[in-house]
Amino acid sequence: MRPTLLTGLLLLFSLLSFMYAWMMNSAEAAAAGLGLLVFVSLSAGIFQTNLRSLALSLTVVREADRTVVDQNGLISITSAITAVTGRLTASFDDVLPPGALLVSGSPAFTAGRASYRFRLPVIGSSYFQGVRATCRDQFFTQTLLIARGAELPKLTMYPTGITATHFAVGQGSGWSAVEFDRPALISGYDTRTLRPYAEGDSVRNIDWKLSGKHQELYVRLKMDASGGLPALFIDLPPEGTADELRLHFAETAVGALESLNIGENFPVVFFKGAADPEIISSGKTSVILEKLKETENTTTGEHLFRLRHPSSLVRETMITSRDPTKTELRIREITREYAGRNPTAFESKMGSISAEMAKQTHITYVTAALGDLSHMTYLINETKRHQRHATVFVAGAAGTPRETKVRTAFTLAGADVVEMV
Amino acid sequence: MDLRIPAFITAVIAVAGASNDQRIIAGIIGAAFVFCTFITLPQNQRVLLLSAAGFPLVFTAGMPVFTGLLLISVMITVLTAAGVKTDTKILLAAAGTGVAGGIFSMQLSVVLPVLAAGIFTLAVLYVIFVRAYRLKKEVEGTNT
Repeated sequence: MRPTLLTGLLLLFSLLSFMYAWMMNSAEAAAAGLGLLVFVSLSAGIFQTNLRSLALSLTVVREADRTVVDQNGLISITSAITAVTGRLTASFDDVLPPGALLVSGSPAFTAGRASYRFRLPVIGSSYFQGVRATCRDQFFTQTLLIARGAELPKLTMYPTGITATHFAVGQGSGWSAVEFDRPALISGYDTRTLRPYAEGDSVRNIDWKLSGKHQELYVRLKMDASGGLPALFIDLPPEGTADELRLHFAETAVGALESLNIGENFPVVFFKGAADPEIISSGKTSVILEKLKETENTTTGEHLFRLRHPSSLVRETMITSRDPTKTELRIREITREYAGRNPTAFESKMGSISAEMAKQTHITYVTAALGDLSHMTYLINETKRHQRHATVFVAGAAGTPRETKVRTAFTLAGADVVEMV
Repeated sequence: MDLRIPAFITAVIAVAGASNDQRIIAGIIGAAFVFCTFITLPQNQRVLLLSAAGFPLVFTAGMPVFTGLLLISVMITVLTAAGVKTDTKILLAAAGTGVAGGIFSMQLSVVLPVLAAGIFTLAVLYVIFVRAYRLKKEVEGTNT
């Protein structure tokens, strides 16, 4: 709750009255100052009462074209809102579920209605975060997130299946061989790997024997019989990262390259912030080692323009506890106008890389996960959208306070395995 | 209530209750106070002008009883200008402020005005922070 300019001036008058009373020994001036303070406190009380009535009278009804979706599925929402605003001036915005990416339309209510579409990359159950109400009268203004009774409908996202990533039997030898997974050919699927149970996983995929042994639920991640090849994505740490961490990062990247044992003709993709990714063949060890000496050269805020409508941009432009400036309003307007219409340069480049890597189905990421993670979560989402298997190695985060945050972000983005190194 | 009625009453009380050497200035400020109710202005500007003219008007009062009466009438005028419905609670608050102002004017103690100002500053801070926080918690869902 913030006072407006008018209230600020009234409080200034009050202060001046008290100063006058003190200097001129005027009891009447002290009385006048008191009168102003009483007036402001009455106004504050009235504003709070009106705001409370508005918050308690608010009802929102959302209609979704679907409530159960596949990974990254699109959901269309039509929201209708009713609220008794009384003497307050109010505007309302729908607040999407955490992690959702707005694709088109606007969550701002116009004449009590809002229509928009968004992608839901978060595994399991998601709820709307509520409705953000910005209320003001002459004396005070407040932005309030009203969540109680404004969270439905419940949305559920099930992750897509995982394509086969290793070779069991086949013809030929070396990395050019065509190979198949025999158990998968017989039964239709095989178990690629196991991971702890996450909300949204099918109960049928739980491995009861292993779960019983470990006293914790584990699920089998299935693969089909299509075969597939690996690729390594290296997200270089930002400029100014400590030498120790950079060395650790380089060791992790080289370790991943070694442990994947991916031969000499598979892509190793380097990311330097929002710059064009560089693809190097896995056989060119000296070039890879040289690249590992470089760092990300992203300038502050550049990450916001990697994606057409990243959730971080929505947060930075829409969630504000003060009145937005003209620039912020303009950015918000542009964001809404162009949301989801044109892919950014980063997305286009990623699209073409993705198309080139039609056979690479086992993607391993190595990142230091410092600063903005939106590009990484986007890449993992893309991986899952193409039904690939995503393993993420995070260098330098193990045992640090950001470990949980990073793990949650990547797991919610759909990573099958997140390893803190 | 028509805004001009309390404004006119305020001006009359101000001129009648002003100390002898300040009667002319009370007349001028009182006229300005009434004038603010006649001209066409946005509501927030009217509140600001009425406050800027009304509360200094209290300075000119010559006797404690007039200080109290002036405070009551100025507060009711400004509250009416702000669109607040003048109900019993508002009248009581204005009367309380008037009585407190009258007691201040008797100059019984220095502590009294400081104490009252402190209490009402706390009241403003309470509404701005504590009540706002409670409301925020009240409307918070399980999902945030």
